Amino acid sequence: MLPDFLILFIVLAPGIVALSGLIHKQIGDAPVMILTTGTVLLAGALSLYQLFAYAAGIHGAEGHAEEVGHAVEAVATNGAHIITLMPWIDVGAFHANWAIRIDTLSIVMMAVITGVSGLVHLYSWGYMSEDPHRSRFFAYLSLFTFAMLSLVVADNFIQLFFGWEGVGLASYLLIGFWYTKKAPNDASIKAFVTNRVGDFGLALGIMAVFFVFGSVEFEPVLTAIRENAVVTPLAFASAAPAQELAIDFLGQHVYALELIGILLFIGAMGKSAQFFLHVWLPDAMEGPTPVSALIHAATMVTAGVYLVCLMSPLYEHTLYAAGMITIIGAVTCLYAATVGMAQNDIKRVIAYSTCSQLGYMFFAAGVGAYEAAMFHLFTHAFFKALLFLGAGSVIHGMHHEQDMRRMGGLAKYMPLTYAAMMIGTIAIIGLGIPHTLIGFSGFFSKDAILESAFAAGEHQVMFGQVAFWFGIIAALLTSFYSWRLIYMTFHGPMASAEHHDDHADHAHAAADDHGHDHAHADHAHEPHESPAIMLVPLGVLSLGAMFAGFYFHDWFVGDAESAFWGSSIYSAVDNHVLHDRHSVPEWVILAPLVVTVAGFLIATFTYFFNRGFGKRIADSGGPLHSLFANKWYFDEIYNATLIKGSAMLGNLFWKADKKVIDRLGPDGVTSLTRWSARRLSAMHTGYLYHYAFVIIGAALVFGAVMWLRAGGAN
Amino acid sequence: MGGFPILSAVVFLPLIGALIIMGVRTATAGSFSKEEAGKDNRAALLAGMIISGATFIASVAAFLTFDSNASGYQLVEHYAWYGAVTYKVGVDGLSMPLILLTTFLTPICLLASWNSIHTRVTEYVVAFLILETFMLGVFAALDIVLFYIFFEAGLIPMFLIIGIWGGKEKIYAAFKFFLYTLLGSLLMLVAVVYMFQAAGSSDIEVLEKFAFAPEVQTWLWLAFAASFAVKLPMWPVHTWLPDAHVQAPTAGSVILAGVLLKMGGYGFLRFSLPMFPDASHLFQPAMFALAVIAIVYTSLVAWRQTDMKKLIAYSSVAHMGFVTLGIFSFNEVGVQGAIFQMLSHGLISGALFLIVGVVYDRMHTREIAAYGGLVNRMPVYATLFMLFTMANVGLPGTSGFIGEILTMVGGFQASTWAAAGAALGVIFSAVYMLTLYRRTVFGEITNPKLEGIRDMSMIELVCIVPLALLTLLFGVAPNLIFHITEGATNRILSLMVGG
Amino acid sequence: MLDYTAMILAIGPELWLAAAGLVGVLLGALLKDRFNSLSFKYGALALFGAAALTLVFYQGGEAFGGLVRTNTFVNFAKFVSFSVGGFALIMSEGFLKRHDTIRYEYVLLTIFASLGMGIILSASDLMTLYMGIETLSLSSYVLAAFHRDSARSSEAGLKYFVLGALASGMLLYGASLVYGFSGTTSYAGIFTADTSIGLLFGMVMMIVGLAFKVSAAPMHVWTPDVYEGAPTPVGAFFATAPKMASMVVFANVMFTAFGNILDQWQMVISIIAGMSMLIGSFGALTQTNIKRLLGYSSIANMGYALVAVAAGRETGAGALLVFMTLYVISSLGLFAGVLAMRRRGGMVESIDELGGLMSTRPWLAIALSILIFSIAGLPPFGGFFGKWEVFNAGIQAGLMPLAIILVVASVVSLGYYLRVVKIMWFDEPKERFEPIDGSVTLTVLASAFVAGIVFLIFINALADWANTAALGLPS
Repeated sequence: MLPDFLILFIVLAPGIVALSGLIHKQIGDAPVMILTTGTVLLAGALSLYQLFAYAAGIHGAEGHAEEVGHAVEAVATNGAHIITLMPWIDVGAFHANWAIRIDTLSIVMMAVITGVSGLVHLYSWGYMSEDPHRSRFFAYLSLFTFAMLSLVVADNFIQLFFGWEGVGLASYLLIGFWYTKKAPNDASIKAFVTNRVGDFGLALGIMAVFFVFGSVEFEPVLTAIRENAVVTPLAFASAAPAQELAIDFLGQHVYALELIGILLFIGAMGKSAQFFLHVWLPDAMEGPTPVSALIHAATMVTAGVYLVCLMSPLYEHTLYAAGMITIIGAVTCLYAATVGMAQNDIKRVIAYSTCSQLGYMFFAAGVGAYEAAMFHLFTHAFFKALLFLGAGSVIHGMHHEQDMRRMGGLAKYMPLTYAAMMIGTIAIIGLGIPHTLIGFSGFFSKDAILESAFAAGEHQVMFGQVAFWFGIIAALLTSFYSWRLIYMTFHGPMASAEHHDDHADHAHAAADDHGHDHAHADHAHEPHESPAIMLVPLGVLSLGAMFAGFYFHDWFVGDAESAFWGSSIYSAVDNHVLHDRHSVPEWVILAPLVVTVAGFLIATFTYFFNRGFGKRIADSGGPLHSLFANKWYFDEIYNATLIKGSAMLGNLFWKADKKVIDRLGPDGVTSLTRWSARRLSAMHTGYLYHYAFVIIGAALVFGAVMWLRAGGAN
Repeated sequence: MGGFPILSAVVFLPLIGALIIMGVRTATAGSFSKEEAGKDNRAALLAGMIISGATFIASVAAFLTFDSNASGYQLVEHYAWYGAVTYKVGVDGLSMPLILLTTFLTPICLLASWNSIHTRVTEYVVAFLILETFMLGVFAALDIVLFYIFFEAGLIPMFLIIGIWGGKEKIYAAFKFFLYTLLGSLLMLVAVVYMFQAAGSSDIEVLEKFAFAPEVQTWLWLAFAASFAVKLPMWPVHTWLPDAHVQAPTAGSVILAGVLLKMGGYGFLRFSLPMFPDASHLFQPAMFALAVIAIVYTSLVAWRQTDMKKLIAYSSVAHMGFVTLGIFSFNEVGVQGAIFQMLSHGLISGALFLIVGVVYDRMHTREIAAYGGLVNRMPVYATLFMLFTMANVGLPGTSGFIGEILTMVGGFQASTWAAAGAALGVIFSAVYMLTLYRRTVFGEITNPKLEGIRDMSMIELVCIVPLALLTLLFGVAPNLIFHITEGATNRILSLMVGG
Repeated sequence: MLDYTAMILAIGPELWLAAAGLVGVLLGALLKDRFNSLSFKYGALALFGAAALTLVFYQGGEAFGGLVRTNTFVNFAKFVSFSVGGFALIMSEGFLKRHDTIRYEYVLLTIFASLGMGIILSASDLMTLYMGIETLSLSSYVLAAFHRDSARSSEAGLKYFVLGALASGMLLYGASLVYGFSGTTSYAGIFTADTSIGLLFGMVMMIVGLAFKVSAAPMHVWTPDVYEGAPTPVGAFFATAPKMASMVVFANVMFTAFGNILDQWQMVISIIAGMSMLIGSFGALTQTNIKRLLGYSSIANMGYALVAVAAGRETGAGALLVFMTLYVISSLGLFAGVLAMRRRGGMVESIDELGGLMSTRPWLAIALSILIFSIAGLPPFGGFFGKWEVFNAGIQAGLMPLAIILVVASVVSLGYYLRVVKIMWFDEPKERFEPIDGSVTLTVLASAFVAGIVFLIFINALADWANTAALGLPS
């Protein structure tokens, strides 16, 4: 474990160097790039060292007690090591500090974040080399890294929210990095707003937490849940043990923990692009590819998974919230895989794949296998970053062409990229030999998830069986679309020649948009291998994709699991999912392999041997294909209902302001006043006898009033 | 007591300065509103800045003698004036930050006018300084009649500012602003007179302790609410605000959004809650409903705007909805959040109006459609605009977040419906602000007139950067504010219970 | 035998004015046209002298066997009336000179009108009251028609005369009814008389007559026409001194003669007050002539003042004095402003002619703005406290509906006051007004300063004085 000042360095340094982007005009691009890349790489090295050292320390704790560092002890025995930086908000009972809270979860997340981020920084030296705004890009990347780190080291919900929104901001800025183009701008807003919809839930969840527990700090809240302490909500509900407490929410009387669980999960759904709130992720691919690798694959989108795992004490004591996580995760996993099959944009395929893999993580967490979820998060970070960076390498080599239909046969132009993509693909489909430790990293984590889900289903955990079967089908589809991608991109004939003119225009447009001219000569159309600075990260990630599962499975989900996670992940006394997965029937263990191979064979048959078969299916326009290709029409439905609806409401209200409120209010009163004023002036005719009549009339009326008041004729 | 009347000095320094400027101008040029030479224009603005700057320094000096730990009124000055109506001023943790906000924003407003106001500059400066006195008076007054006088007097200079230096529809906007707010204030005056007679005193400290009968409270509360709701503004009496903002000159909008709107929230906290606790409780659901409607309704309306200033004006209404929510949550988190939100909104919306003013000065249009691609020519502008966009959206790390989350947390304890509705507004705020930003700043330059647009000048930076720094500072260390407001908040809440 | 000491104590100022008037007639006969210009100084001296004498005999007294009885309440009003009358006279001189109508008769009529004001204020008997009213009215009719060559002026005078005669008739009719049913014409006697329907009916007729004099709705109908038609200095005089006197007399009659049947007349006065406020404020909205606008404004303001009357003696008397004092000062200033509106040798009266005054004559514009805001009762100007007093009295008397009407009328009236401000401040500058007499400028500035600012800060002095004066009313 690292001393405090190094942890501080890891978390804060990326944020500080990100500020250098503000003065890039003064100091030039290179210093900004060197500063950010160097800092994050250093942070990455430190974080990885920390992870390894911590893991080694666990073994040490079992074997050689004297090697255990102080912080390890703190993490392993007390749950977390907290460094308080300064108080942030102190209002009554509402306390939140700026703090760094290190537990196993954050150790893992820090390693993933800074590791991948460092590599992506490096990769971007090549990928963004010709972009005039590259220093801004690097500043954003570092800013993102800082925000993400502050999320995973938060010791309270508010700082978590800070990081949560901070990564949203970075994501927004990076998706819309090419700000002159329409699509990235639209996508960036869509991403931010969809995330905000999730944050609606998260914010309400935080409010509910404070309402119930009187605190927004993790330690007291999670401790109270674990120990089922009696809590007194701040207002209108009476005290009860945390796990039995029910409160009123929107007119409903609901269990507090269920409510908090569901609300927090809505936040996670937004950030992790789960079903219903997934729509932004594919569009986010409009951002530069390194961004997709870092933010929209390896790190930010996994924040939701991290949150659910962090809240394991909560979800262990909720039935419906956990069930909701399971079913949403399972549906996302399957849904995204179906859509992924029918996409032609190389990045969108990988994006849907990300979505699908996140679904795996969620249903694992939903059924109680948080460790498996975190493990998949960990391995997924390597192979998905690898796939994205590989795809980026392809796009770079193809001069910003992303349509797979215009690719093909690239294996011979860019062999190293091809190799990396193969490794990534094998990792994502989870190839490995059951009952052995031979397999790529996805094998260990995905199988752990599927087995856990099955075991959970056996134990009547809500939606456990559904999740298992969805997961199996999704595994088949994953294998299919992953290989489809490989075949369409790297094998067969070079398809781009067929669309030569078309392509040239496209390349022109893309190049112009980037403010520099790519397509000034014909040879520019020749695909080429990427420079070394882009290939090195691919190599490093390939290693991770191959060996991370093998190396870490013992700590994450194996025998050393409980020592490794310590109290950072909590399992209720009746949760044996991770243990039970070892006693599932043999067919369950073999099933993933079978479907993976099946998917491979189908893809090989349709896209390798019968090239064009897939295109024919696509062109035949079957309803199923249309459904998949059009993402189940989610965008259209949302557009027609939510967006149009809000716009209509907005217009309506705006008109109401002028036509109803103002007309009944100030304008109406004004014109009424003017009208009466005119009538009144008209009464002043200037004729004496009119005036006299008024005076005499008034006298008579007043006399009559007095007469009546005095009793009239009586 | 007994020492130098620092608070009165702060309040009246701008007024005295204004009189001196008028006198000097009359002496030097015969009459001060003739077509002036450019040099004289600048001289008047400079003088105004020096005076308002001195006021700021004086207010900081007053703040330094302010004891944050005490909960009662401090720096109290009390002089006989008109029978039971006395001249009594003082500050507590609620008014002190608002006074500092006022003295802070006024010099910025004058500086921001450096290049945008070319006609009748002396009058402009004088109007601003007089307005500053009235605004400070509102926050400092501890006598309800004195408060009323300052409260309503502020209408006059603002009326002139909108009407003389405003846009095309300035007359309509100025009249609407004036009469709308006046109607509310006069209803309040009826209540003030009633309270004065019932309690035999117009001293706020006396009135706070005076127990009005519950049914009387209801009427008094309504009369006060008529005034504060218009000022805040709350839905559905908000329609004067977009007009006033759009037509007002940039600095007018800044002061309007930055300070004048705060008088409504201040009034609720200073009067409605402690003096009419029963009625406040009675109307809590209604206020929550109006707050949520304000947040959701105006956010949606903001989204549909084609005029930059109107959009931000509507966004102001939405953000003041959070203030209402926090105030009427009647708990410490909510009320402190509301006070914080007022300050934060003062900084953020003020800055946003300045941001709009920057391009308006160059292009003389506020139509969103006339812009696009500004980042290509104005990177510094784009950066600052982004910062305030995010602050307005309530991104954590900016002060906007603290106010929103605390008011919602406070509101949640009183009504989950209100909190959920407000949280819905958080989504919409992202929609309209990002859409605005994207349409003006991002994209290619399509309007050829924008080709030669200059980035921000040093003066503009000097105006906006302090606001940016404070927005971030209060976002990261809001305790600086909470430390001040805590005592007053608890005092108000205890008065509600004891009341 | 007449008790001269008591007489002088009671009506010293009136005696002075009567003497001054008669001497003035003599001087006029002797000096002829040479007296014309001098007469204005003479008249001012007479009026200021009367005001000073009022202060000397401030405590008042009783004379003529109870036909006159003065106290601090009415003496306060006398002092203010005579003073503003003097100022009105001073600033009239230039105007009349330019219109070639400068004649000493103008001064003498003003003095006699003032004498009438003094008499009605001193009256404690219906007979005296009627005598004073006729003195005041007859002088006023002639003054309104003073520009005898002008059709508008003549028409104004004629209208005023006919309607005034009608109102006087009603007053007289009411007075005779009251006498018939109570058996006495003295206020004190009526106060103690048994209430009968006839008495009440007589009272109503008297109210109608008095309301005409203060131009309260619906007996206001003459006001806009006369304000517009009469020469501006005459308007300035009508809007100030007689307004103050008549309103205080109105209150005096109601308090002193009918004070014990407050509940009987409170409603009638309230209706009149409410109608005046509404008609005055709404009616002014569409006006384009500034004098007509001021006429409507005065109707509205008389409505405010009547709220204080309706509130009854205890709460209303002091408030009435404060309000009326601030009102007449502001009113004087505003009319002085109208007198300053001279361009190319002629007077202009359209509100639009004030366009851009802030650019051409900033101090005049500022002073007029202060006066307008003050008369509108808007803080931070002294006029606010006038309105505050009225509000205070009305609410204390439980007249909530009137308070609400007051609010509405205030907002509406701000609509037209603001229009004037808008024209002065926002509109394009028009040609600069020609220079005007120092007395006019001084009156504008001084009244703005006094009504707007001095009485904001030192309102306590005025209010204390007024409230102490109100204690002089017999209870």
